[in-house]
Amino acid sequence: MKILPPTLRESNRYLAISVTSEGDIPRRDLVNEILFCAATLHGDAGSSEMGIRLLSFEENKGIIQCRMDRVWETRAVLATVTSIKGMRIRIKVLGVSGTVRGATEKYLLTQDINEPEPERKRTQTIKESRMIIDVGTISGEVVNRNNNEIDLLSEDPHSLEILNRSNTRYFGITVFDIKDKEIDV
Amino acid sequence: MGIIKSSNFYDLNVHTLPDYADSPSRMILEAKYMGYSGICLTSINTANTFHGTDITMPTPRDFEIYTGIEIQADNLSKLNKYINRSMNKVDIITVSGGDEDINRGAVENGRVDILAHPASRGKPLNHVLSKAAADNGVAIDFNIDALIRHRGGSRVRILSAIRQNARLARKFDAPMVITSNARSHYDLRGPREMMALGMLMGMTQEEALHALSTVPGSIINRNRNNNRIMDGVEVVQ
Repeated sequence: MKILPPTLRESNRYLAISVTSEGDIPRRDLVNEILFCAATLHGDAGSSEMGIRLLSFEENKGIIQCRMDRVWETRAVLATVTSIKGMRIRIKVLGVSGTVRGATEKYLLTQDINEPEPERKRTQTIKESRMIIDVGTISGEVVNRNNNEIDLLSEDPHSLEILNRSNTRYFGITVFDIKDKEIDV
Repeated sequence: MGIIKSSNFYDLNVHTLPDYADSPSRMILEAKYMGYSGICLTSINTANTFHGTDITMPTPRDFEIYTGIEIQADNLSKLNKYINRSMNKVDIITVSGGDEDINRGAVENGRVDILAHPASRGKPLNHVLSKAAADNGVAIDFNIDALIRHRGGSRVRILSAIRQNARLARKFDAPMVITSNARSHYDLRGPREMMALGMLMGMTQEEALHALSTVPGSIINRNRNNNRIMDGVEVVQ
């Protein structure tokens, strides 16, 4: 079968995204969740018009394809993605471009020199990172560390109540909150 | 797109420790990463006490931190009492809406800055309340967490109430703000995502942009201006 000539093809936009999550997200789960959110927000008819596809997804960064005139709707869909299998997740759109190459070069490969983007690579939960630290009234185990940002797991009842209210698993703190800054986490 | 890029965005309702799970400094870092120029750290608790946030972190460049309180009350006299008590302690006074009496009490009190999630119980504001909000300069909040936290029937009900709020706010020219009402940094969304959700709530793109940039900015200016005594009264010299 002949392929469509370029002038008759739908024109697309490519959204560079970065994903923040409590754990590792498999590509398949992310795709399913995004399409599910599109179907709940805009319905089947609306999501067929948007033509959302996840083109690539590696190391919590990826590219999403959508129709040119449906970028705002796609952004809304990405904003409603909140959790995958009980893990909290947040999708940030880094930028929109007209070609895959443009999106990759402009938003995925470059790093802003003035304000270095916090590296989203998560450190392994190695033994050294398991320690009790104090943040005012909250103490717990360090789960993830990423530059200045720390995820803290706490299990005392008062903390669990707060976590429940916020619908997260970990406390989000920074190194600035820790009293004893000498601790090498 | 140029006008969006050159705007400063503010999120005026973000909750942190000890009420919710993120520390103020974490929230600030994440909000900065998402592209905001300022956020308001809002205390919300049953005792309605404002806990000053001592931030041990150096403030990031080009970033403003405001303090606020979200007042939860179950009747009007308590609401007014809490509002009076919080005066001059915080930058921004927010009232937790939803109940019809409380919505009314909030929009009729000029000292309130924002009526938060007025449609959270699926009941829209009527023309009287929208007009009162416009007269008293109380901003009506369009909280995106209604859209991202709920699914199915409850979301439909809240969304249709929000749409009516937007329609009436436009008619009576009441200020509109979009806030995240974030309970953790996973609830934060980028400014353009917030605009996209605002457009689903029945705003135009321009209104959504103003609801995130100029309207919050003017609320902050109004409250940080020491010469201002009340609406229309200002110390000139």
